[in-house]
Amino acid sequence: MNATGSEEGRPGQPVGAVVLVVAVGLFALAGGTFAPWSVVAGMAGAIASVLLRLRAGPRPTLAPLVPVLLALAALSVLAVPSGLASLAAGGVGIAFLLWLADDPARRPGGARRAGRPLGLAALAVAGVWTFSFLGIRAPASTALAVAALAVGIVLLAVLLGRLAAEPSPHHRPPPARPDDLGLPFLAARERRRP
Amino acid sequence: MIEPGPHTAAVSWTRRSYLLLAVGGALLVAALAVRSAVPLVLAVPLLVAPFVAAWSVPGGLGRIDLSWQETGAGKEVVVEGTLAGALGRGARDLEVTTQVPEAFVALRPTDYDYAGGTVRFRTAYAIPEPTVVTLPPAEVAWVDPMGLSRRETEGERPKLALDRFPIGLKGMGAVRLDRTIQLPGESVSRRVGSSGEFFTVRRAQTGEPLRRINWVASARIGKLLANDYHLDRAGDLIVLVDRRPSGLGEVHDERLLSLSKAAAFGVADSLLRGKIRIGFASFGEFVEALPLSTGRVQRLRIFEAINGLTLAPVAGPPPRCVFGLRRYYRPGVTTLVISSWAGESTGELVPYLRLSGYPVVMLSPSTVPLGAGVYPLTAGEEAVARAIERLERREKLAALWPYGTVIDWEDFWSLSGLVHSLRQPVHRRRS
Repeated sequence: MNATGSEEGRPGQPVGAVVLVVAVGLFALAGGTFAPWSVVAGMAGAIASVLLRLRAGPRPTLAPLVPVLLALAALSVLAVPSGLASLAAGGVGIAFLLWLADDPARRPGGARRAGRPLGLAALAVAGVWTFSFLGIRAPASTALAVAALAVGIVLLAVLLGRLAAEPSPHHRPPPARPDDLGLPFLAARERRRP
Repeated sequence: MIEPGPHTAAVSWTRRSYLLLAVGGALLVAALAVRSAVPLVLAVPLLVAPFVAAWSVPGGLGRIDLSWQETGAGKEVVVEGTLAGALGRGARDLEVTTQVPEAFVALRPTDYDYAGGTVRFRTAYAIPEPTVVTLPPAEVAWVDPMGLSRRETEGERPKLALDRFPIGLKGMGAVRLDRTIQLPGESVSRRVGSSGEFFTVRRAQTGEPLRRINWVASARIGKLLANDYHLDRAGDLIVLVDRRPSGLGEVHDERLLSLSKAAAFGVADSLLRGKIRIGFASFGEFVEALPLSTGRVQRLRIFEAINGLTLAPVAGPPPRCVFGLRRYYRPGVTTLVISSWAGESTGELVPYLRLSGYPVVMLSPSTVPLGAGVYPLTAGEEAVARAIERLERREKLAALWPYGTVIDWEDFWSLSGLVHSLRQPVHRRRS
């Protein structure tokens, strides 16, 4: 099965890039502050990131991520708090992850293969947005939401650490090799075998 | 980092994950500062994604063996290989990371192909200059599609030997070199070429072709003997690489040494194909030498020796080089000296060699191309600067002309001057 064929989409399709630029534009519009200026600045940051990644070559670097993250951070801080702006912020975060997965320097179809992690991140965004939209209308209680999110992430880290520490029931240790057993003559015989 | 369990390699976060976590943390602080839920919701995917990516390591990923080879030609290095073993469901996100020298320029992203439970990969680099290098074992790791977490895999990881030398050396053909050791019955002949005139009988070596075995002589003596032909005994050559610091600075010296290594291996490889006995020596603070020999094993020995060459921290005095050489080789063997002759002390080596009875051919990687583009000059100024540099270098090399042929090597992808020089018939000295 060929990963570079048409089965997983042609390489170079800028789906993730287009989604990111559009999502940043919508987020800037939903933010409602300095609308024309913020839309231009946000989209410029996203386009700069896309171009930087195209020019970066095969080796992954951090530089392409910086402009779009800076633009998003500035837009989110300047945005007028509202349910729509929060929803757009969550959406642009997911779009950013989708763009990460759709890396032209890697094998095509990354966005599809990243479906499960993206889905879980979207679920977390939905949960936090619901919590913030329904429960936190008073700005003072944002601290409560931050604390809840921090505790949730710590719990997630502990849970994942335990999962990683436990061997999977499907895992089978690799067979012992003559080198591991300290039997050099067996190892030499195995190497001679065609 | 997530702790590894028994029989599993560690899952680690990439730098991208740390960046997302830092930005997410900053957004949380900003949310508290501006009392807004917008940065808070934006922070959620950035903070959750690294954890989710680390959690999504596919099952069935186990021992993966790598086999690879180099298949390019000329200035293009193409590395092709296969991953086989317990690829599991994460086969599509396996990545091979190769540590290549900085001068290598990746031409395109690594191309991966799946076929019959194996992953084949292919990557290509452009190299600016000839080189001899061994690539360290490549890393094979599963990297999640977002590039946030990574898990190394275990398995066989061989090194990859790479050599690129000027193409003209491949077709050097037969050259005329002085012989050192006269064997009983050896007759002096000026003729070299493809004709196989019988020369002598010698002890057969391991892996000797059957058609070379002299069965009658073997039966008479009781030991396996083989025929030796004139073509097989074309002569001997010592390749001497000067790896002393020249005073140009470590960066330039390293580059010149790399070129010298490529030329030395190219000459040795080409002449060993012509059954010429080659000895290899390098001189830094002391002499390190391989005795004269021929065959594939000698090629491997020379490759290993050249590959391990590094710039000497201290320059040894030239007489020490001559004394060292005389321990390994009898005077009279044609010696190819490869040195930049950029420093003061390097120029003194050749007179000592010549006085000790070693006929020398000198190959000098030019320092002129190293200065190109260093200073902000216009095209005209650059041309004038190069011309002045060439004149200065010519004056320096002119001091060596009385001792033998000097080849100023400026076009690093061509050694036609050296090939021409080595193919010139040598008039034998009358004894």
